[in-house]
Amino acid sequence: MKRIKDVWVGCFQAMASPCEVFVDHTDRLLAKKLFQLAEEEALRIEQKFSRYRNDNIIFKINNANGQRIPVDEETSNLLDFADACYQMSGGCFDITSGLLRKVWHFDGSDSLPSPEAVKTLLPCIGWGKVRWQRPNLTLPAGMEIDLGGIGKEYAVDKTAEILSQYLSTGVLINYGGDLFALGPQINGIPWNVGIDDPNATGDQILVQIPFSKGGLATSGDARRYLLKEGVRYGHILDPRTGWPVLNTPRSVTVAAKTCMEAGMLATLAMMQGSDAESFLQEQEVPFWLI
Amino acid sequence: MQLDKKRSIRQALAIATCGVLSQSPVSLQAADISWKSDMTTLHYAEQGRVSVSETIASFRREVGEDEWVSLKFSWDAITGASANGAIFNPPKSGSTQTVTSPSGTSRTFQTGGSETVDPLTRFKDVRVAAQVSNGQYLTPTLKGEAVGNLSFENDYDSYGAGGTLAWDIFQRMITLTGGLSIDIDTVRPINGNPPEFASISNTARLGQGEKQTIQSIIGLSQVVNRKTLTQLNYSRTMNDGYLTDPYKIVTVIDAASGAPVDYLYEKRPTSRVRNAIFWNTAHHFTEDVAHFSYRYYWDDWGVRSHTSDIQYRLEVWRGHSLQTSFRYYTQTAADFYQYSLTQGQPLPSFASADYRLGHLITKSTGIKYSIPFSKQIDFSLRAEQTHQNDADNLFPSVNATLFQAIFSISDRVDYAQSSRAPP
Repeated sequence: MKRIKDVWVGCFQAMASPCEVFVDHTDRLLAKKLFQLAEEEALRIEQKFSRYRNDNIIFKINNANGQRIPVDEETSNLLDFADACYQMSGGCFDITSGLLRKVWHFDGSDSLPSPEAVKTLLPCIGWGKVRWQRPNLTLPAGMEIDLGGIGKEYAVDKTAEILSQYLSTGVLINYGGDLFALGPQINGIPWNVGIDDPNATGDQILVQIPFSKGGLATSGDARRYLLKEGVRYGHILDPRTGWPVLNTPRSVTVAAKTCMEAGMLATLAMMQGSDAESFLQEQEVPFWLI
Repeated sequence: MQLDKKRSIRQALAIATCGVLSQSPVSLQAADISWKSDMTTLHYAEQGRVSVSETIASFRREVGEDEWVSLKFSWDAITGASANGAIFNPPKSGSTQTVTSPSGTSRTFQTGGSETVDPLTRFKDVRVAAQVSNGQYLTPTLKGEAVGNLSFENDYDSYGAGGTLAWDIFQRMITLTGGLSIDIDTVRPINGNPPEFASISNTARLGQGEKQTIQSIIGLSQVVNRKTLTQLNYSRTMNDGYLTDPYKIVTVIDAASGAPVDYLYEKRPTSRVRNAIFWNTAHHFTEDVAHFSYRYYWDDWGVRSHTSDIQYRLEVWRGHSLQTSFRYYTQTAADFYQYSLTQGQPLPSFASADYRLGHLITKSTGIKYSIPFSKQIDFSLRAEQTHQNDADNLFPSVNATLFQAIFSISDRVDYAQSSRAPP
């Protein structure tokens, strides 16, 4: 816990990302309590939905071998959300597409997988093959789900929900670049959020966004891509083809009512490739393209 | 690739999100427990008068989520002399007199001519006190605290209990406070309470005196902006019972010569309603902090007082800070305050010559230097010089000095306390 220009800042690590919570309030004990609540919630969500653990519901689902698995309320809600996103995006967003990581390694090199390798995975991908009848999930054997695409945004919104019981302004949550602001700073001045330069990630800020309320999320290929014969293959994969979407913007930042909405709109915009801008214009949301 | 019905995505997302985020929050685990302890020792000395040594130890610990308990013990040793109400520098002196004094000690004075009493009473007393409190957040914005306290002296016992509620509203920009406390005190001088208006030569004594105090307070504090905090309180205190000071006397003088002819124990009303309005504002500059406070007090005994206090804390170097303060206090005398009574005149309903009910002006200047030994340990030294004088010039003025050492230790780093930048 530290103090930067009258604002308390709590930092911790969760969901493989640096997490920060800013509290603009005179009460240090209150700030400390909010940091504690935020960290507990972020770690709880990580533990419950991480696909890197073998003790949670995701592991149970992914290792059910075709058996029907009943899931709890919270997991059901997230699966409903994932289902809605799959439907509304025509299959562009798919929580079963994680298997593609077996062949795609976005390490900045030029080693693309063979089209055959990708093709052999496709039968195991597709939310349409999954039987989801709340609260029971039946995943065909060999398939996997991964909530990584919505987990961080969900953690941000859930944290905001908890902290809003204590303060309704002067709080900014940033989990690895996914943000939520519970109102501006105490003096009414918006938070100043910078957009990372995709060409100098972590070093340079391209745009400053005044940000007061709601969710803000960025999707981009800054840190994860492949480059072959002058073609940049970003880490946004089209679950329907198993191949990266080409000509995507380098970075899409969207503001929305919640962080989950902002994150999903940013992801879906990336899936549009060169049409990202017109997609976002149609959605009538504030956005920043790089 | 094209999405289906692009335009509706935002709305569809909003609806889908509602389903995920409308859950009630999950139960929370207990927070880690933190504690804080303070030790302070204080020495207060009035020139030629009372000196007080006080040691206080306090301890506060969080117990589970949103709850804390605190304990405080204090030990005071008071010695010296205080003005008992007898007139200073009487015209001529007389025969032998004995005056009982607080806490069992007594002193005989050799005088000649007319009867004269030393206007200063020597005494020595020890007071021990303990306080325990328990506070918790009843809801995220409502904080409650219950306090119990007791204290004992040779001749005085006090038991009290109370509670306060603090409610944060308008996004915690405003806090409303309400509190109520009740104290029951017993005054029992070693030799018994003298009858009111009895001559000091009268050896009759009554039983112990009892009094009750009910105090209520309402307050509002507001964050004006991120640098300024302001606070306004009103308190009303009702005392009932034995409010007379059994050690204070009033001189009866001869109308012609002004020489003392007798000394009577004082008599005060059996009830007192006291009111105070207090306003305090603190402003944080980049590093320094300024405080200004003003208090207006009035009661149905006719005492009205004004207190102004200015403090400025200067951040010196790496967490070291120097605080200077100045306080100015004026008070009007109680309606029944009389320096002396005149022989042959009918006795008033009440009379007291206690200088503390007189027309007073007090000025204090203080400095405090704080040294952070480590992130968890703070040490401060404080010195204060006070000058008190009787505006009617009947009692000699009193100069007092105060020295205090404060040692605080906590398991957490308190940046807020020193406003110092994080490492």
